[in-house]
Amino acid sequence: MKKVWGFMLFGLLAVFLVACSDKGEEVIAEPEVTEDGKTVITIAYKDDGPSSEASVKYYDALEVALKEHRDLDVEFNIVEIAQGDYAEKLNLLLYSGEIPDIIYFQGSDEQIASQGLLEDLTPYIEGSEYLKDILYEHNVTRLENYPYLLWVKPINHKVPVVRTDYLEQISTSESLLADPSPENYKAFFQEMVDKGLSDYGVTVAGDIAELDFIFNMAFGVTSTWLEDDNGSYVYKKVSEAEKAKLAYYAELYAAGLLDNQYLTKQWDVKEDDFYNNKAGVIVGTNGKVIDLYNTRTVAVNGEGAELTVLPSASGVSSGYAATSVTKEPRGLAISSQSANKIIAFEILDFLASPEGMKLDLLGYEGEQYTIEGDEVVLTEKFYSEWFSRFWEPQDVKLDTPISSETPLLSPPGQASTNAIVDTYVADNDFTIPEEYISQWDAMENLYKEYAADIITGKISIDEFDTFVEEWYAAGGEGITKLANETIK
Amino acid sequence: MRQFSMTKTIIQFILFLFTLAVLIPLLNILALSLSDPARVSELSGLGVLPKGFSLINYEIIMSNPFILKSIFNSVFITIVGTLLNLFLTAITAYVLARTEFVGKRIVLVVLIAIMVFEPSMITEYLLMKDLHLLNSYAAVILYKAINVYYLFILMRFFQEVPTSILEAAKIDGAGHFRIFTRIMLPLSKPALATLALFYGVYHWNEYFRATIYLSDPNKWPLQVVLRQFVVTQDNTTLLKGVEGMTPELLATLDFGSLQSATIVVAVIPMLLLYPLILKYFTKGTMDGGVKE
Amino acid sequence: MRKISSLKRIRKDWILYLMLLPGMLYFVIFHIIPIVNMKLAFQDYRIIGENVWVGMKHFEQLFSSPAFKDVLMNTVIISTMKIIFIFPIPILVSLLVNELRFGPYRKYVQSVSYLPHFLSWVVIAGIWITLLNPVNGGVNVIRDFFQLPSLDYMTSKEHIRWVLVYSEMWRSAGWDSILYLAAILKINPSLYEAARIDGASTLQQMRYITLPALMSTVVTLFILNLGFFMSAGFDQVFNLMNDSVLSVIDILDTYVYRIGILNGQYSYATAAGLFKGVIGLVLILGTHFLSKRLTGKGVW
Repeated sequence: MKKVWGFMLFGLLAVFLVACSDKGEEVIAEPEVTEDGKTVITIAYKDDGPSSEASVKYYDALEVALKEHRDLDVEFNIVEIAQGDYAEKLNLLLYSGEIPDIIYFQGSDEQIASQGLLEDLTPYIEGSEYLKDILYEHNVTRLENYPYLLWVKPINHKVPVVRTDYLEQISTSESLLADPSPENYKAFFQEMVDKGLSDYGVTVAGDIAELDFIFNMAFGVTSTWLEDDNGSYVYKKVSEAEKAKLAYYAELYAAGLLDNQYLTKQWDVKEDDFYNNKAGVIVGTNGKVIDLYNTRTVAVNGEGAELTVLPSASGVSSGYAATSVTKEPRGLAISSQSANKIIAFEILDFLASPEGMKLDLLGYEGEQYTIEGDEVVLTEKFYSEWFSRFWEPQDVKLDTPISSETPLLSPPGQASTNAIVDTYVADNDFTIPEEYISQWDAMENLYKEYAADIITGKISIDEFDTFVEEWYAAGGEGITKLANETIK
Repeated sequence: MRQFSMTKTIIQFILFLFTLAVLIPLLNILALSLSDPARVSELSGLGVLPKGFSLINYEIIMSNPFILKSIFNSVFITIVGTLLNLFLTAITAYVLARTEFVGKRIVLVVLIAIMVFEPSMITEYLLMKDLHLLNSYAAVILYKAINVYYLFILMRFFQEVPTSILEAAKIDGAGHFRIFTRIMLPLSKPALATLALFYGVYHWNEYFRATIYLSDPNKWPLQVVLRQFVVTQDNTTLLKGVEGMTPELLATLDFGSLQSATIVVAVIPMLLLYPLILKYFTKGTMDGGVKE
Repeated sequence: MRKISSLKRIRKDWILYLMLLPGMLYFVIFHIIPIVNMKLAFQDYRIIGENVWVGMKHFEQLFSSPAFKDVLMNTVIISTMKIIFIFPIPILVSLLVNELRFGPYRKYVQSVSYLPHFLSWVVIAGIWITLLNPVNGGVNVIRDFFQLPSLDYMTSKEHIRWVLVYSEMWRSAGWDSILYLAAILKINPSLYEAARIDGASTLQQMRYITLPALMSTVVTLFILNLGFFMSAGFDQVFNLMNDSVLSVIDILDTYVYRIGILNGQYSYATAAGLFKGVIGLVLILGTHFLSKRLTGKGVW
């Protein structure tokens, strides 16, 4: 009897309250319109929120521009996304049943797309006025494979940079720039250390992914799946090319040219190491990040320290990395549940027009830029705080050209982006099916650990063959079979 | 008069080494935050004296428009949260520890279950949404209004209050509520002080739930504003809105020492609590009443 | 007959139930409902419409993975090490602090030893990585002084679990001693006086007065901590992990974080949570009732 009473105490309350704790499932399909007849477009974007003055100002300006150039009466409703990991917080919002009209994704969009909540953008782009003309090559392929995300920006890879004054002091620079073979890279690092310019040649944080942007192609790790002599595909990390690359990394490590603490290095320490000249070469994302490295190193080490972008190593092949074209890793989507899909896309298309880009790329006249004569002159404010939320095509077509005195990116920043765009090649990777995810995780971990141990000299390079066997046994057989069926 | 005791000296020495092991890395952080950004690289991992002296890091943190507001928010959450914690935990612990009632055993087992099962984030989020608590302090304060672990600890303390005192009160005709407020609470001051410290620090350090439930930056507690910088590697939030922050000035900063300064800023308010709490850890707190 | 007496008792003790009400109401709303909603482990989440029942799918996915066995093993090893080597330390610290006279030195020891608890694991990881740096880290500087070879603890498979143990000890030894210290303060001072008159040494007083008086607190905390046996410290491991030691410190929580949370697979993460909870529940209730039978002491 006692027990019955105890259960009732909890049970009654529980039943009573569970009843009202279901998620909201009614999706309103009617367009929301304000009193003065404006269509309300809700938008979720990283770092934008109704409490941010900069965000409110931007979307207000966009409303005005849309009215002026497209005769669209739109009112933006910016969704407040909690701080912290954007993908995680966005997920909570979406999973609780609140789906904005326009959503910026940075991962975990596939879960949402698989539930049919994202609009296929292909027909919209085909019928667009401006957008279809500004797509990069990789955008086109990615949209074919996964038509839910749109992200017209230069590809993000990483490029190695070095202080220009160092480059000039080192005698092996010339041979490096003429023929950036792994051997010449090693000699370059060696001389930098020998001359006492830096403690070690290159630093990376945590794993060798950044190093791979320099050396992968040179050793023949040219795509995720490498075709062997028999025409069948082998995963790059279990290939002979990978073995040769790891052996080379191990040499760099043993000679003290690769930061010997790279495994435990944190991102901020890594950057400080570069500014303090402990590391001679650092690898950073092309564009804005190289821009930032450049500003900081010049401030710390003087004008002569302006950065030079180094070429990727060349050997079997060259280039910084093959670009995955399975899908956009980030980008904007339109909700399939939205009642304003057409207007939402029209906004995206407007942002690809000269008028739209003027606002999105350059900011506000009198603040981020001024018009002098028939040229746009960017101000200090542009460089210190402006970032483009939407499109950055390769050829920016504006009504008024930008003065060559004030380019959008600093010379090293621009050079880094050009280096990436010029060496574009598509990768042949494919999305790992859900049923393989936990196996894949285990296989990747197996690689990470063997790679780390080989490079740091804990085990010899000969152990690589043991790793390959283990990798195949841990699920590699299945995935490789799948790859050979999938890749045509 | 105490005599010289070898054992006591050894104990003092052991504890001294222990505090040294704790203190040096912490002083290193303090030294880093006070060093001249240009000379930071000279400071080794064991150095406890700043290289050069500069308050630039603190100036930057303090000129962030959200910092002062967030300190106020943190204090509010911590005080209100801790008071609520103490009230709910104590009253529940009293009933569970010192009385017999129908269904008690079931309640205890269910409490253990509550302690060990962690529902996924999405369930909790949906609950807060249904209760219309999103973007309110209530969500942050309420989701752990009673920590079951602490509840059981307080029960343990309550159980050790001698039965004879309670019996005496009962004979005098005191009811449960009276016994609770007039006898149990005053007799358990060190335990309640301990719990206040635990809950207080917990609220002060709470970060994850605050980022999820408080989306309006005006409601952010200090930890959210600071961690934004330390953890998510986002320099812009902290530096945004700081008057006169040019790329050149930004470039002269050392992020490592700026980080250290944020750590110091987050910990200092906790140190102010020390005297308050340590007061309850001195001799004589338990005098009067305990003698059986 | 019994039913009536129960009702009667409830009516008589209504004030008790009233006192219990706020707590229970809180538990039901903020804990019981979410726990009931852990039924999500047996469903696929649908943003629009009802969730789909999928039976044991997510559990199968969790248990069938070859990595599961390894991460489970790591979790058990790390948790066991922490229980054996960390759990007694705060007790020891409280015993030692208790021997200090009330005064500035005691306040200093207490104040300093609580400090690391205020730091997050990101910061502590930074401190330890610096401290263990094979070139100029404090520990290796000391090793060098004794002419021992430098060791890279952070990337060593043999040492990294000990790094977890020691860093946790560093962080929580002082803080966790607070509870024991509060319990020691409740001991009747006349017991010590009597012992001193009988000529008991400091160590004997510890052994025969303080420690026995602490036992019930020790047992309570020990059993409660078993409830978190399957957790083993996510934040700590996450921040101290590096590629070289993945296979020895990848624990259940870090694994589920990668597979489940990062991919938005809430059902999978919930299934893992349910598994952990069941183990914790069994461990707590099992030891509680066993201990109750053997020693008469338990959680309650």
